[in-house]
Amino acid sequence: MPNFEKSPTEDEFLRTLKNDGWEFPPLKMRLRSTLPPQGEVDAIVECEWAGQRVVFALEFKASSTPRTIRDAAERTKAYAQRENLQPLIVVPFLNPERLAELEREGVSGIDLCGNGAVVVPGRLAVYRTGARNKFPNSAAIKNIYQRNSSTVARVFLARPRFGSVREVQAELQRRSLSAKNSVSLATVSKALKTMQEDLIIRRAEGAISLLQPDKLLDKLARNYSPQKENSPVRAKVPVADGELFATLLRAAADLDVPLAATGTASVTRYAVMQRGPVLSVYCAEPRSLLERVAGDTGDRFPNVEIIEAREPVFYFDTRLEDGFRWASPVQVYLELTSGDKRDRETAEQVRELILNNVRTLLA
Amino acid sequence: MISPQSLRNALLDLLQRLEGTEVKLIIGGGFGIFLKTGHVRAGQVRTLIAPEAWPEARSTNDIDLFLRPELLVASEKLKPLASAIYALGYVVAAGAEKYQFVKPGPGGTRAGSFKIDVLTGPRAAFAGSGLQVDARRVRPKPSINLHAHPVDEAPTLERNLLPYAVTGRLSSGEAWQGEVHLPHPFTFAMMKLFAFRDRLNDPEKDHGSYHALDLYSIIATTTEAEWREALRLRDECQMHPLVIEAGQIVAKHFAEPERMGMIRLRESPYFRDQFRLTDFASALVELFPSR
Repeated sequence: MPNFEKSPTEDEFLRTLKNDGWEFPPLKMRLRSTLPPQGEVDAIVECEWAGQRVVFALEFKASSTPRTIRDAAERTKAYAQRENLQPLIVVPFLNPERLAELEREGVSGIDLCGNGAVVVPGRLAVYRTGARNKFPNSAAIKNIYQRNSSTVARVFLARPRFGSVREVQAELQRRSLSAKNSVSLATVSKALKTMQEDLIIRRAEGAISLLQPDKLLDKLARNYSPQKENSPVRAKVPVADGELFATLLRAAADLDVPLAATGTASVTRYAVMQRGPVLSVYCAEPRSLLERVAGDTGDRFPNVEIIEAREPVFYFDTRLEDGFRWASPVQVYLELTSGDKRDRETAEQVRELILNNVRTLLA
Repeated sequence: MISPQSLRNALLDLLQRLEGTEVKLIIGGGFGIFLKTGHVRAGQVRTLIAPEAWPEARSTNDIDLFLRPELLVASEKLKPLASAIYALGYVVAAGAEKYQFVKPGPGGTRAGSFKIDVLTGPRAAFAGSGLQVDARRVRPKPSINLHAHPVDEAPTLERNLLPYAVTGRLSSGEAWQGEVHLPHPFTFAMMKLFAFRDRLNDPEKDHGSYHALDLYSIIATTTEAEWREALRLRDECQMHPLVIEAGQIVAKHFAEPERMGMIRLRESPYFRDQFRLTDFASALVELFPSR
């Protein structure tokens, strides 16, 4: 196998293939011909092993994103079927998930790190995985499903269709507690590009719409990190139960700090679950807030728990209802999925609610 | 978005339909622990562990409804309950027909749905009753379209029950009050010890960590009076094979900080440093000594 220092361009790859050939042991590959640059595939290669000779239509891609791989596989497969060849794609890196997808599609794939699945039914089958990614930049997608940039993804679960990138940004702004917390247009564009490559959204006919809401929820859940930097502060705010919400909101407004109920404290708005009497909230300045509301941290019967959270994502898409600011269903879902079995069971109710809502909005 | 009904509303709906009948409900499971915690907190009575070291009270969308064995033996008394369950829109759960019921959420979805598990005391309580009893269900005779799942680990189910006034609103919005009973902490703890042991090696069920957390809640919220009663129940039932087995579970999994039950408790996402683990373990060991 050629040893590339960095991910090669298509020209560099084809030149190496032409000059040195290529091995994916025990298979040996040789370039038979290259095809015009704008063609459906890049080259025709011959593969030899133990007297067997198979001819492949080869498509090389310098990027390993799921969408690139899927598009390349589709195109190469169509071409190969028409020309009575076997389809093969080559990309910098193929993880086991991508290899399995290719196998399901009946397309062979090899990467530049030593992984691959070359399968020609009834003739040969070579499968190798486990080699590390030598080209992390080519495969690593900036994690747009985490922290503040995840708001771009989250907004699609509240409103699954937009007319433009600017419209997405405007919606993000509308659902943020403060305009200064909204993400930039460049970040929105970058996030949309990644979501498109991940086949989570599609951009067609002047619209940007959510394609796979369930996959999006899974991605958000996998990448969600609860706020655990500082221990929560529990305190008794000396007001009647009915005044707690207003007291906290007023204090936060006076201090000009964000404040909202956590997802777990908001769960009963979206699902059947009983929770205790302590109101759990996110606040950027717990100490100042406690001082303002004369909260007693030594009281045995606290009525509020304050979690320090400065990132705008914790206040994104909160809902001002019934006298308090509650977390969005997505935030509730994400917090429940990172909880214990009971929380995860309840998360399924919230998930169904979110997906039903998306389906209604898309209909 | 829906505005889901609460579990309390669902319970009150049931109690309204049972008003004036002989059906007395015992609420176990997570919801029972939730109600007990709220009750003790509101009463501000002294408990084995102080409230600042209690876990957050939670329960999911299911109600564990325990029926006294005598109700199953005289099944005509249970007819109002069966009628109420079906009339409120609950349907039988596939695979657990007639003792598990589900009420779908708005639009027939899982979001906002409720579950009822109908349970009863140990199989031994039905000896000589002539009822058809096996490990999965007790079938009242004559049939009333309602079975109950027997819980052998609750030999003290009917002992020292705590009456609890449920107040709130029906799903119609009307204010209502009814009464249920909560199992004694000794009974609750017995059931949880076995539930924990059964899930200890089940990764799908968090290796039982939520059962360990429930067990901690049960012990933590035990009042002084309940503790005295628990010690009496312990002495009275000391030769019962399942009480002896409970003692073995405690010795094996909770007697020391590094035993698996204590580790599972610390692994719970709801574990907090304020928890009084030594007090918890010593109370358990005293209540369920190893014999």
